[in-house]
Formats: sequence, C-alpha cells, structure tokens
Amino acid sequence: MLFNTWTFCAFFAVVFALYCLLDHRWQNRLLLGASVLFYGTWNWRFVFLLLATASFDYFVGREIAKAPGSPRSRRWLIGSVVVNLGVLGIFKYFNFFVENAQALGAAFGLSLPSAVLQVVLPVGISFYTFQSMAYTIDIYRGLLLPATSVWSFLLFVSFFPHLVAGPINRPQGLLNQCERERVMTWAGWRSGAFLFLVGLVKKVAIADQMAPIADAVFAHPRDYTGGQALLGVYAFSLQIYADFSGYTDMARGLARIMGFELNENFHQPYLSQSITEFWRRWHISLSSWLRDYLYIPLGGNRKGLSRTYANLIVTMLLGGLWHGASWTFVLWGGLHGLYLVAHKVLLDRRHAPPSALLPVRLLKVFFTFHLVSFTWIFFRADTLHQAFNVIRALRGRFPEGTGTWDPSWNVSVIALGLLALFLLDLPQYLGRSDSAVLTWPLFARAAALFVLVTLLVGTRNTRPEPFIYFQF
Amino acid sequence: VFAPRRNLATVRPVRVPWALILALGALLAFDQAVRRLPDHWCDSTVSIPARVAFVRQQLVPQAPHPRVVILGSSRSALNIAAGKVEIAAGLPQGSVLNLSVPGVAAYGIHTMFLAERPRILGARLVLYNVDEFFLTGLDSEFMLEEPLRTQLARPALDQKPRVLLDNLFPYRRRLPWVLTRAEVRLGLRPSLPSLGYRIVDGRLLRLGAEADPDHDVDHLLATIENYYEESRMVPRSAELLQVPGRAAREAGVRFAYVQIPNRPTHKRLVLERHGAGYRTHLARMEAVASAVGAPFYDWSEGFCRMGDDAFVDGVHATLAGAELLSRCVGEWLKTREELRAAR
Repeated sequence: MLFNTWTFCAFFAVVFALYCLLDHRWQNRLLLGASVLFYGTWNWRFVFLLLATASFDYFVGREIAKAPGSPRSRRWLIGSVVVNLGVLGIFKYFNFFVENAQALGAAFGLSLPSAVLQVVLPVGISFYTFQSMAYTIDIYRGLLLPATSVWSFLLFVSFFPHLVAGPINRPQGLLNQCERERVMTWAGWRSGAFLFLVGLVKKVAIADQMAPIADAVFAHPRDYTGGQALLGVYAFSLQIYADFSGYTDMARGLARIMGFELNENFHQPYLSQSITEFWRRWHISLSSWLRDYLYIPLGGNRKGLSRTYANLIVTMLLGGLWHGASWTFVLWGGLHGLYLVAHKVLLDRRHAPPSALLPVRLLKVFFTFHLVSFTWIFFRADTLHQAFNVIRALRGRFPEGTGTWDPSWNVSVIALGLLALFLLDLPQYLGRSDSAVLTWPLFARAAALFVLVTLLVGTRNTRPEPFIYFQF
Repeated sequence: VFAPRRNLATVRPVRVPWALILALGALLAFDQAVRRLPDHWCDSTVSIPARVAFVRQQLVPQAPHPRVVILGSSRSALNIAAGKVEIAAGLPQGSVLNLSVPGVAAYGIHTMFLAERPRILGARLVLYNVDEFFLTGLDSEFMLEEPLRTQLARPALDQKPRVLLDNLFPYRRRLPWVLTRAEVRLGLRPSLPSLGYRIVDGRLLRLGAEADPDHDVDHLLATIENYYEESRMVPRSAELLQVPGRAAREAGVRFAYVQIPNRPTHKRLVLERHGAGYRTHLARMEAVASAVGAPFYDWSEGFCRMGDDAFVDGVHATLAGAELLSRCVGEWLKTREELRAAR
C-alpha cells in the first residue's frame, strides 16, 4: 500500500476517523492493528517476523533494565543484537555471502555447496531492525527506561507512517510519544496535511518525472552518449532525493496529523558545502544511528588519526551494506568513507578559516553535489559492470547514441526539477520550519498551494511508482 | 474507550481553510483559461504538425509531382530511400516521394494526408506502410502527443485514470506543449530539424543512429508486448487508416497497405512471444484493406533478404539496410502496370 495511491488515502481516512473517536489506550491498539494491516498488504507472513522480533526485544529490554550495565544484562544485549542481526543477515545477506564465498572458493579451486535461500526480502526490515536495536542498546547504556506496555513498544516499532522506509526513530522520542497521551491540534492537522502535500509533490512531480531518464540510461548505458549519460546521472540524483525526502515528508505529515512528531531526515543535503556536511543533512536518522551505535563505539575520533580514518571507512562501508546485499552498495559506502577521510585530512591540514565569499561557497556546493552524484552511479546500478558502463558512457565511449531518447529529456528538464526541489525546500530553509509557508499571508499561502496542487494534478501518472527506499 | 469530545477539544477552533479554497478556485480558473488557448499556441515544435511540416519542407521540393507516394511512420521514413527506389525501378528522378514522418501513428499520417492530399491523389500509386500499433496503443509513446488520443479513449474512460484526469483538467496535456514551445524559443530544447536528421536519397537519416549489430532486441520488444491485445483495439484508428485508401479509390489511384521487413531476430521473437496476436493483427489489416478495396502486402517475410546487420534496432534500417530495401521496393515497382508509362 503506497502513500501515493487512493487505496492508502481511503485506509488513512478510516483509521484517522476511528483514531479521533478513541481514548489513548485504544488509539495505540488501533494504530498497531492498522500498522499490521498496512504491513500485511505487502506480505502477511512477515507480519509475524516483525511482531516476533519486536516482542523479543521488548522482553530483552525488561531483562536488561533489571541491572543495566551488569554482565547479565550484557549477555541479554548480545543475545538481542545477535538475533536482530541474525534475522537481518538471513533475509538480506545470506545469499550474498554464500554466492561470494562460492566465488572465492572457485578462485582457489574449491567447490562449495550451493545453498541459496528462495525468500523475498521483508519490506523495511533494515529500518525496523535498527530502531529495535537502538531500544535495547539505550536501555543497556542507562539512557532509557523500558517500555511500560508491550502495545506501546510494538507500536513504536511498527507505526505505519515510518515502518517501511523510516525515518529511524529513537526510542527517547517516538516510544515516549506512544506511551503518553497525544494532543491533536488544528495547527498540527494543517501543517501535517501541508507536509504530506509537499512530499507527494516531490514524489509525483519530481521523482517520478526524473525516473524514466535515469531508468533508460542505467538499463542500457552503452546506448547513450556522454551528455545523455550525464543527464541520466543528474536525473537519478534528483530522483532519489525527491523520492526519499518526499516519502519522509509524507510520513512525518501523517504522523503529525495524529499528534506524533517523527525525526527530521533531510535538511537540504544538496546545499552542503562539504561531504561531512552532506552526511549531517542526508538521511539524518541513519547517519546519526551509525554515528551513535557504530562509529563512536568503534572509538570514533578518540584513538588517533589513523584509527579515526579507519572507523570512518568501516562505518560507511557498513552503512553502504545496510542498503543492500550487493558490491555496488559496498562501493558506494566505501567511496563516501574515502570522501569523508579526504575531507578530514584537508580540514586537519588547513589552518585558515574557510572562505565566506558567496562564489566560493557556491563552488563548494557544486563540487560536493558532483562528488555525491558520482557515488549515486554505484547506488543505482544493479551490478558493478553496469556502473562501470555508465562511467564509460559518461566518458563518451559510446558516441553513437542509439538508445531511445525522448526529445523532452534535456538540460531544461533537469534544471526545472532542481529548481522545483530548491523552491520546495527554500521556505523551510529560510523559515527554519517545514511548514513555514503556512505563516505567510493568505494570498501568498493560496498561491503556494495553487502551484503545488497544479503540479500534482498536472504530472500524476496512471500507475503510482513505488518508493526507492522500500527495497531496503 | 470512546473519547471524541476530549480528543477533538484541542483541535478547536477549526478554521475555514481559505487558502486551500482559493487555491482550488485558482486551479479551476487556470484550467478553464488553458482550455481556451488557441491550438496553435499549444503545438510544440516537436508535435505532430511540426513533424509533418518538417517532412513536407524537406522532401516535397525533391519530388513535387510524384508518381509514387509512400506514407508511414519512422520505419518507412528511415528504411526507404526514394532516390534508390527510383533508380531500381527505372523511374525518372523526382518520381517517388516518401512522406513518412518519424514519431507518428495513424493520426499523424492522417495529418500528412490532409496536408498533401492533392499531391498524394495526383500520383499513380500510394503505398501506406503500417506498424503493429496503428490499430491500438493508446498508451504507446507515439500516441502521447496525438490530439485525438483522448477522443479515441472515450469508450474506455473508466479504465484509464490518466485519461480521466486529462479530460477533467485539459491543462495536463496542453501545458507541456506550451512549455516545449517556450523551451524551443529560449533555445533550451531542440526542435525536430535540429535533432540531427538530414536527407539522403530522399530518405530521412538520423545522424548517429546507424549500424549496431549487437542492439538489445528485447528492449524494443518490451515496449510492444501488449500491442496485439484485443482490449486495446481502437475502431477510430482503423477508420483513420482507411481514409486515404477510400479517397484514393474515389480518385482512381492505386493504393496498397504494406508492412515492410523488420530485423529477423525481432520478427522471430515477436512470433515466439506474440505469435497468435501477430497473426490476428495481420487478419485485422486484411480486413481494413479489403473494406476500401485495397490489397495488403505483408513484405515482412520473403520480400527482401535483410539480415540483422541491416538494422539499427528492431525495426529501423541502417543506411545500407535502407539501400537494400529500397532496391527491393524498386524491383517490385518494375512489375506494376500503372507505372509502365512513367518508365
């Protein structure tokens, strides 16, 4: 059930109407039931997996809380981490490791037995596993008290707006909201609905319009000239941001309508002036999770320069692998790790403060955007071979340009997409609020809504496109 | 359990969403305004009228008084070189006029017929090359800019939300054309003449789109996988196909529907995957042709020995492939009685 479908609109309308009628305790049960139904529409069998792992973590959380930091609670924590990563490993990485072990064995003349699992990947498993793990780890660290009710905890893990593609919420925020009585306000309804509309416009009017260009280039890179391949890569850069941040806006908007507040996940990442800044603005919930639960426990920057660089690379490699069991994601993460190390080396060697001149800042934004766009090639490609073919196409190795290319796919379409994204983000950037538009005078607000609704109606396709991050 | 009074107490005071009401009102007014724009404001320079105009400007001066006229889409535009046909058929220069237009279907060809009607009906023989999707394909990329598309789709409105939205808000389909026109004027978008076409021997040549023996045939096949489904047949398309045939018969001009060869691998895969549908398509074309008393020649089999290397993709010929097919067409024209006096 995709957010950008009429089915979901009907589902939400029913859930929200009932939600308004019930008291807090029954609201949680209703939302849990709705979340199970929402998740079950993809594959009902995995509902049991979701509820089983979440229930296990609830139980472990209670056991750890009896003596946080003790050897006994440590054993419980290790058990929880092993179970969570084990489930993730079986469903997401088992085939990847077996296939690579076989390939490695074959390289040394060994024939390893074939053991490939024929299972589909449960939607959103990476998101809810990380969220659940944060709960037990934080209780162990003494940062959190265990949930008072299993219903609240199950809702915290499975809350349908964020269940399949995040943001990854910390228990200190969302779990508390599940346990406390929530307040719905007119301002919350208004800003939640507006945020949902903005997200929908990002998805339908930008991401879905960019998708055919990127799809064409990445499907048959050898059929496209250097210029066309470059447009394809730019198109994907815009598509993935509009798609993922659009989903997050919709999720946050839906939650806000019901009185919840989910984490911010993006903060105009393509305006970053360095790769370090990019990671403070892109997929904030994942990058902060990796920082707090992986990078800092590995030693962070407290154990010397070389260890800091190694920690950065390991964190980003695992961050890449989190996205999917493929060497393309590993390379994507590795590249970002190298970028971060390179930036840190530069920062450490520079003594003068960074230039505040606008042209210099714009140049940095331009440079950072292109560094990031280059890594998207590996993120988008199905195989390394395909990724390298796209790079070859970018270098003009296939000048014939025999691929199907719609004349409307040109620089102006990319520029329009970029401009639209910039304008959608600008009020938030200037007003420091995701619904700053709603504070504008009446006619300005009406004009903004007119543009959004006109774009939405004008660009809607027959078939709703799924969100890219659903596959993770 | 039920606590609506307490839950909703914090929501008050509920205000009238004036901004939303104003925005929706502005949307309706905007739609009405775009609906009333004159057509010529909405035609982009890559639209069908622009494509037709381009082909007319480039090709008609080379054969202002043709004996043979060829109509069709990019397949016949790129695959048949009029100059080579003339040489092979022993016809004088300027006898064969290829009025095929890239990127069109039945409606686009109909537009060309209306524009060049006197010249076409002044010829001795008219060949109309038919693609598989001419009778169908409301969602095919070639139909997206066809002005009659929404009219053609009316019987199936309830099944097509996009068409429904197009009808509710006509700005959806007109606005892109206005934007395209603006983009071309600003130099941001190429128009058809600057897309890289030039004329060689009375044939359109798309620069940079020549021989690729390794072209992925599946890529094109994927785009045509449902061309043959009965549910996609549109009677209005068949009527448009018959208009020039009927007019030619009334004017006493010989007229034939043809289907030129495709890449052999492509044809083989079509037969493997859509064999029944393809045969039904041939039967449908026979019916369309016989309704106007014209023959339908299936040249896709045994007419001309064109190998995979004669094609850029599944259906478009290379320069060498076009020369080969043109020679075959010329040889065939040699046998035509109606052209005897012209030779």
